[in-house]
Amino acid sequence: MKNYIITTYAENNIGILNRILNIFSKRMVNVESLTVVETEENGLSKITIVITSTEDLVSNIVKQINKQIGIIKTAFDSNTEVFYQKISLYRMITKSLNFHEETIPAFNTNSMQ
Amino acid sequence: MFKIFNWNSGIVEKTRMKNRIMTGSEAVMQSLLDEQIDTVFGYPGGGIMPIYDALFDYQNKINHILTRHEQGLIHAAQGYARVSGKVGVCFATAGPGATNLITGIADAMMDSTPLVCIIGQVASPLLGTDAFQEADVVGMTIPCTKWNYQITSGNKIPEILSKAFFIANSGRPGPVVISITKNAQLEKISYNYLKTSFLKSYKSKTYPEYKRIQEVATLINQAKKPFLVFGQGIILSGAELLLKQFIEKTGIPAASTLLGLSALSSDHPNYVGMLGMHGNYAPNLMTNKCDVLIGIGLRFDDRVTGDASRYAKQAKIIHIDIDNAEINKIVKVDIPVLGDASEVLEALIPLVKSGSYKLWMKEFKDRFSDEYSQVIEKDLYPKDDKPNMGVVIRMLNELTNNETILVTDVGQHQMIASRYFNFKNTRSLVTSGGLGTMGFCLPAAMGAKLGQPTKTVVAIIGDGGFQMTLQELGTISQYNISVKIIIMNNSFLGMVRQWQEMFFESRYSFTDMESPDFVKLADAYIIPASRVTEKSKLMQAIKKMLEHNGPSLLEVIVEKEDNVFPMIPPGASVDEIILKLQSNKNV
Repeated sequence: MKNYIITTYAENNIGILNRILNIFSKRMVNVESLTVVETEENGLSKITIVITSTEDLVSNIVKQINKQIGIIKTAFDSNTEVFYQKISLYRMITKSLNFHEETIPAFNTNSMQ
Repeated sequence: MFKIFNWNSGIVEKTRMKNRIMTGSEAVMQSLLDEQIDTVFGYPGGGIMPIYDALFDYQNKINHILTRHEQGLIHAAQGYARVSGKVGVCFATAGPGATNLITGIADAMMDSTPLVCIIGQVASPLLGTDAFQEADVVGMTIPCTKWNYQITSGNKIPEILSKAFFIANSGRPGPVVISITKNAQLEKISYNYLKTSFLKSYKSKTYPEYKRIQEVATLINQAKKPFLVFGQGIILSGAELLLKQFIEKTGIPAASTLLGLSALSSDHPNYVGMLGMHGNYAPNLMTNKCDVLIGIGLRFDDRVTGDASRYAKQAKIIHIDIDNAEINKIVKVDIPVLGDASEVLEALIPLVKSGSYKLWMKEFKDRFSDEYSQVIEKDLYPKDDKPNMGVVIRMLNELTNNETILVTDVGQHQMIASRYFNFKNTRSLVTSGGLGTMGFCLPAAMGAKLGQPTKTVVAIIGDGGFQMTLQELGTISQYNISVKIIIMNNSFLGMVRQWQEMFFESRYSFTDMESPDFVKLADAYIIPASRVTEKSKLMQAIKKMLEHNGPSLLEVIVEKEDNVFPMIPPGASVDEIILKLQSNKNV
């Protein structure tokens, strides 16, 4: 059992997410995380799903997702094949909108780590 | 005439007609006509009344069959689609109308039957408010449809229906559900129907790689004991002739799955029988003896493979299928070929060498004689005077010259009928294979008769299954649909009883069943009927029933506790198939 990340590009239609998730529940696979974001192409969504499963099962699931009408492309990677990139957003109180290092003294490179 | 391909919508415009103004409901009718649909199975109700009102004006163009229950109409549409290759169209109302369809939709999904179900829905402002007769049809049918969609605006009707028909009957066929809200049915729209032949997010066509086909040919040419198994994919892709050419050229023995039956004539010299739990002895045993197993248009269902971990492990497996999701799903294959059966076979035939496998074929024949002496002879030529299921099928073979379409329900009679009926023409078996829906037969036979009006349609039903949808006798009687109904009455839910006998120490828990007087029942529906209890009178009775002009019913009282053999016990491997009841019950 390994962690797998499934990425699918789907038409942004009502019910398509339901259709995709159904395949997981049908196979009794727990979805650990799910994100849906719009892509730069109009009407297309990128859906990222993380599951724990075997390679055989995940490849079957991906084929079944691909078969659904409204899905453009689906692929999967095991956790070890993916580079993570983390972005963090910080919200800080400033007195003015003038973004100068002096106005935000707490901001230093150490806090970014 | 213009031909314009619109890459954004993926729609080919065949003709440019002047747009016409009409209601959404009329647009449904026009769309059906533009798809050359002439038969619709339906049941009206509140949510679909505007569509029925429009249908009133189209009665001379669209033949609407009013069934007695929504389950009846959808099975009828399935039977119609299965024998004709056309799309079966269903009308049903919102809420209970839609939920009653679900069994049939799931059945069609499993058996790849093209259906378009047009279902009424409450007006769109009421959606999600638990309005009267509201059911989330789209949500409910997601797991059992190829595609579904809810139309809330009339303008969408032609476009969505065009997509629906394209999706239902292309690629691997399947059911499509279109729910239309009442306001969309009533809205005035400007109608222009464009036939769909391409969708961006749906691959209706596959392009088999030539290299793969060459690999397949090399493997087949080197094989010493090749064995071909085929399924309904052959029928759906219209590859019956190519299959025949292929096996005649190569001399490879071929076996069929339950749904593949009739793709190859039963008396073909290379045909070695049916696969599966109650299939023939030889093909099941030989699956674990062959060196190359060629699977075309089948999905290696668990009833075919038995224990999949011990299925054809010694063989190199080739799997040719149009659905990528079926490849490596149950059986791990060595060479997968993604493609339409007829395209692949067409490319494959010139590459394979002609030959024959006399010794290999003889092994099949030897096993067949084992089966014949231990099972078939007893089934077809029993010594006592009590009729049994096998005898009925044998007599049907003798009397009909195999020109009939056989429709069966689910259970012992289904297995006996598919084992012993001699199939001659393609699409001459309609049965619920994947879902195994009891009550399927009577409505499906009705639909089959409407799909192939010139053929004799014989419905073989058990006493249990018949009572699940017997209300459709009303439909048969009203439209005088000439279906020949044979009820095999053993006063038991036979298959379940057989399992109880074999695996549950003969504890017959709720499987004995009392039935009404079927002859009187048919009489109430003004359908001529008779009952046979003696074998000597059976032939005459079947003959009389077949010769009658119009629907007729025959009840045959068969042996109560007969078992169907051979059988692969559940969980066993295909080569552990048994020919008779074993003294040790823990098989």
